[in-house]
Parts: sequence; structure tokens; C-alpha cells
Amino acid sequence: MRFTAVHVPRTFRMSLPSPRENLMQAGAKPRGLYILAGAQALSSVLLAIASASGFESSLGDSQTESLGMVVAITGLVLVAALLLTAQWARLATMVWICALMALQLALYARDDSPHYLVMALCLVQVIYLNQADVKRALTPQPPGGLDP
Amino acid sequence: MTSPSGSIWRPVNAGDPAANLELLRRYEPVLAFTEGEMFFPMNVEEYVHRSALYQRLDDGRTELLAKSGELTPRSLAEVGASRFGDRLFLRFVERPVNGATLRNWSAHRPKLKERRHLSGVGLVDRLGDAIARIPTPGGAHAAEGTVASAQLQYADVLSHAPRFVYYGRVIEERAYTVLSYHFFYAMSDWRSSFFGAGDHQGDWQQVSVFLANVADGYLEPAWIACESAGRVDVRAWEDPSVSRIENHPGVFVAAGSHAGYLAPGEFITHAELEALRPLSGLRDRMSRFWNSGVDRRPARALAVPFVDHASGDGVRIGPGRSCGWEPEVIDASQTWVEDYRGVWGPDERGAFAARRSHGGPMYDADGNVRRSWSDPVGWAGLDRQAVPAMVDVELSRRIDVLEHDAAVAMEGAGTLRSVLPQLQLEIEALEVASGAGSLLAKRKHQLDRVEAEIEEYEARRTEDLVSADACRNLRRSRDVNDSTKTRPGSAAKVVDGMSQRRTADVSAGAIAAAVVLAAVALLVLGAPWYTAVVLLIVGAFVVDNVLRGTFESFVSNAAIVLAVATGVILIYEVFWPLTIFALAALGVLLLISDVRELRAR
Repeated sequence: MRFTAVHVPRTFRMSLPSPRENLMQAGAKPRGLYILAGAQALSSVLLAIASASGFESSLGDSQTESLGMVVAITGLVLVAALLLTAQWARLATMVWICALMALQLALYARDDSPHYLVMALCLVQVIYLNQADVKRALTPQPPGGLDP
Repeated sequence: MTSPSGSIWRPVNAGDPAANLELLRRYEPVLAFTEGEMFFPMNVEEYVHRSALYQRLDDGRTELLAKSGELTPRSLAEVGASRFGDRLFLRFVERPVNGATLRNWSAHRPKLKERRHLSGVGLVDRLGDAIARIPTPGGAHAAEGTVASAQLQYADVLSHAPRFVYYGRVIEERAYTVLSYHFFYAMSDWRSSFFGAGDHQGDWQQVSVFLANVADGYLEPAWIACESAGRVDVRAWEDPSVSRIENHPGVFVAAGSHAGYLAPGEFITHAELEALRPLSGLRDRMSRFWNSGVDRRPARALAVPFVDHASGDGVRIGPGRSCGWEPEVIDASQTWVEDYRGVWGPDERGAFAARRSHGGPMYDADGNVRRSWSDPVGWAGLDRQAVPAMVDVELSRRIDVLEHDAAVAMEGAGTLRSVLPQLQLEIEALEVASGAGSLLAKRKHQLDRVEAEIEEYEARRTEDLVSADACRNLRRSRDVNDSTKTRPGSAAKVVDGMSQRRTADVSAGAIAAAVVLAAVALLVLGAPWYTAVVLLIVGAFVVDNVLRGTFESFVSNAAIVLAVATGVILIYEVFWPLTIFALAALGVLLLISDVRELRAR
């Protein structure tokens, strides 16, 4: 007994792709990625300025300033990697943010002066790094296209 | 009598001890022990004879009921029957050997060839393991002395009567004839000798072979099950991963714990901390709540992992080996099986549940009948599994049922569909008729209901047809593929195998050493000591997660935790600027929206 017409119950009705998904399928980068890259660039610049002008905190010796500059430059490299949607960019950015947040929290714990704007930018970056479309853009896709 | 397919004719006189013995001997397993093992399956008679019998009183004290040398299995059964409900236990080792004897024994005892590290589990688990191993004053010495005493006694038993015994039982349950092989060991020295969770005197283990009662009175081996650390490892008889010599399955016995595994290797088992057992209920409830929403494995926060070494590179006992079995069929003459509900060693409450001694083949440590005894098919999780030889038949039956249900659904939908035009015409007639408002509404409602029912019938028919197609596909793929690969789905509770990551172990050592060196260098350079400590801890977690392939998830979780902390600080420190900023941002957004609206006009 074979049936040619197959009834699709209401519960199985498929939803249309969202405009954001349409954009993704068209190869466009999600807006979250630009916000993420912007926040990353701003954090890096702020860190570079702080390094160049000498840290206000007790960390302000020449070695720490050099280290701060290296971290800032790394951050700017990551901005490029994010915009180019390099596969390693998400993990590397996450590690970078972790290090920066840990540093700021350590400064706060020592009653030094953490950079609150950098902290807020880190927070924004964590939120955007965990957004589905940003994740998808920075994750290697299996051959045959994007996941449905 | 053997059929061409390997199945055997069911003995006519089933239930007769001789027939049961014939069945048991036909499928008796070959036990492959690990090098370093000191205790092998023995006769309970010798053990009971050398043991003293005690009763644990309600106030915690113990009372001697029979001295060592006074007991026989029969008298043990008599005491057990007359003291129903009392907490009885046997003590094989009265006191540990003295220091000199222990030193001499330790120098000559067999040892485990190679100990694997816990590289397959997380750092937190390993920290738990390390904490659980902190020795108590005199504890390690006493435990090893007890093992030495038990081993010396067991060696004496072997020198007088070198017998390796199993206690076999044949039971018919549902579609199976179950052959249960019970093995008794004088001592489980898992903790003292093999870095495990606990030691205890008197250790019972079990291997079961399930013979399917197939058509025409033939029996065919279908499944094999082993009990390992409270779980049941069940595999199809024809599973290629089960090693067999003719009809004799190979079982790999873990060193010290004597847990049975159907493949050689090192296995991670988790032992729950006894003191934290009351919290388990709370943990389970939380897990159930969490798992109802998302697909995550339940947490195992209260358990400590241990490695069960079952490499099978030691003594082998069974058919075709230099050491064979001396079977004892469990029947009515062995009254100790049913009448003695006590445990077979002192029930010392230790840090882990695994330290408790075992009840006999029939009872657990609390004197309750084991499920493996009363319902072996259910114990092995085979209730929902089709007998491998009957899978095609069962699939065909299911396809028939589904197709029948689909046809019934189609018929139901057809009948209702034939009513629809009539109802519709009736409604149209009522619409033009005067004074039929309430009846019209009723009929319209009826029409909606009939349509909904038709949709329900169609949905059911579709589901049945999809299922029937899936069953047909499975049947077809079984024809193409090797049908012997059938394994129980949820019934197979295979203990997690630990990957043998020698290279990873070496890398872990090297990287950990680098992290330690970096920390030392930081200290020398004058960094505060806590910087080095933090670096060490973070480094250890990073190395651990990199090696276990969970680095990305570790970083992601760490970022979230740090972000939460950062968020709390920001709210605490810059609440008003943040609020003003948020309000200003909201205002700008509203303004943009208004401007867009104006432009659109």
C-alpha cells in the first residue's frame, strides 16, 4: 500500500528563514560581527593609549607597559581576523577578552583603578561572541552550505 | 544436539541439575585476570570454615556468634534462617598481619604491571581523587595488613585444594533461559593494591548468558551481561567486540575490584562519597529539572573517579586453559544461598559506598533480593530488546501493525470526508432559512470539529506510514549489513572506556612542567607570590582542557563567568553613569525612529 500524497501536520509546518538568516545565506556578515570588531578595536586603542601614557595603576613599570602595548597590538590583529571571519578569530578573541577581564578584575581587587570603559566593552564583546549568527559566521561550515 | 545455525536443542529434562550443569558447562566463561591479581574465584566452603560469624547490634557493637573453624555452609544457613532480620556478617580476617610479616609479604607480592593515570577525566575529578587518597594515620597499614592476611589464608586454601569454582544457576524467564555464573572471591583489594575506591572481604561477582528460546524448542545464545561497579555491561552474543572461544565468552576481570568487562582496557568508574549520599537526591532533582529543558548529561559532582584495570594480561581460568572450572550448580541443597541474608565480610562504613561488603548471590548488602536474581532479564535491561534472531520477525510484525493502523486511519478520514459536503450544504440551507440561528452555529461548529478530526486521522496515518517506512529501511539495511552488529540501545550500560593517551600524558607532563617553571621564574623576578599561584592554577586548567579537547568550551565558560563578575562590578561602581547612558541611548533610538516615520510620510 503506497500513498502518493503525504499530509504534513500543522506542527511540522516549517517557518520561513529570518531576514538575518537570509543575509547570512547571501554571504553578508552579521551586524553583530561589526559591533564586536568595533568594540575590540576601541578596547585595543584604549589599552594602547594607557600603555603609551603609563598605567595609572601600580602596574605602571616599563615591562608592563611594553606588555600592554603587545596585547593592544594583538587586539588590533584580532579586529582584522574578525572582519575577515578567520576560523580561529572567535577563540582567540575570547582568550584575549578573558585575559583583559581577568586583568581588570585583578586591578579592581587590588583597589587600583580598572578601566571601566574597557570592562564594559569586554562585556559587550562576550555577549556578541555568543550570538548565534556571529558564532555561525566564525565557525567552519560543513561542505554543502550552512546548517538549515 | 546442535543445529546448523549454532543453536542447541533445549534439554527435555530442563530443571534437572544434570541438564542445568550441561548447559552451564557449555557456555561457561573464560575469565582473564589482570597481572597482579591475588584472589581468584573460590569455594565458599573453605571461606566459611575459616571465617567467624558476627551480629551487628543496634547500638553499633558486634557479637560473636561462631568462631573461625566452627562454621560450615549448612550451619551458616541454619543460623541465617533462625536469625532472620539480624544484621549478620562473616569475618575472614580477624586481624591484620604484623609489621615484619607485612614487609616480607609486600616484597614478594605480585604487582600491577602499569598504572594508568586519570587523564580521561577532568581536573576537578582528579583533585577529588587526590583528596580522597589522603591517608589516615595507621589506616593504610591496617588495610594492607588485612589484604596480606587474607592473601596468605587464600594461598593456604589453594595449596590444599587448588580449585577454581563458580556457582551456576539456570532460570527460565520470559523468552530466555538465563545462565548465571556467580564467582566468589575472599577479598576485594581494589584500594590497597590497585588505587581503587575500597577494600572489602567477601566479594561476589556475576556473569550471565541469555539463551533465547527460539522456535522449535531450540536455544540460541543471544546476550551476555557482566556486572561492573554497579552497572551492567550487556552485549549481543554475536557482537564482534565480545571475544569468544567457541561457546565460551571471554570476560576481563578488573584487578582488585573483580568487576567484569567484555573487552580489555582501563575503565573509569565513579564511586559516590558515602557522607554526601543524602545530597544525591537533591542533586538528582536538580539534574532532572535542568535536563528537562536542555540536553545535558546529569552532573556527577558527588562522585570521585577511579580506574578499573582490566587488561587481561594475567591468569586465565576457563575451558581450554591450564586452570579449568569446578562448577557448583545452585539448587535446593545449597541452603546458604537462600537462608543466609548477611554479608560476606565486615560491613565497615568507609568514605565510599564501594567499601561495603557484598551479600551472597541472592541478596544485596541490605538483605534484599537482588534484581539479577529475581528478574535477570529486567536487570540486564533486555525487556525492551528483541531477541537478535527474531529481529526481522518482530520488525515485520510491527510493520503489519503500523500499516493496519494507517489503513484504519485512512478509512476513518474517508468516512468523515464523505459527510463534509452534506454538512456544508446543510449549513448553506440554514443560512437562507429564517429563525435557524442557533442551529446554524451548532452545525458550523460540528463542521469544524469534523475537519479537525479528519486532520487528526491524516496526521496519525502519516506518522504510521513514516514509522513503517523506517522499520522497512531497518530491515533492508540489516539484510545488507552484518546483522551480528545488533546491540541493545538504552539497555547497554557500557562503562566509559578511558582512552589510552600515552602521548597526551607525556605532553601534559611537559607542558605542566613549563607552567611550573614559568611560575618559578615569575617568583624569582619579584612578582607577588599569588601571581605565580594564579598562573599555576589557570595553567593547569588550560593544559587539562587542551589535552581533553574541551579548550573552547572552557574559554567560553570562563569568559561568561568573568563577564558576570565584570557586570556586577560595573553596576556597583558606575550605576548612575550607566543608567544615564542607557536612557540617552534609548532617547536617541526613539528620535531616529520618529525621524524615519516623518520621512516615510
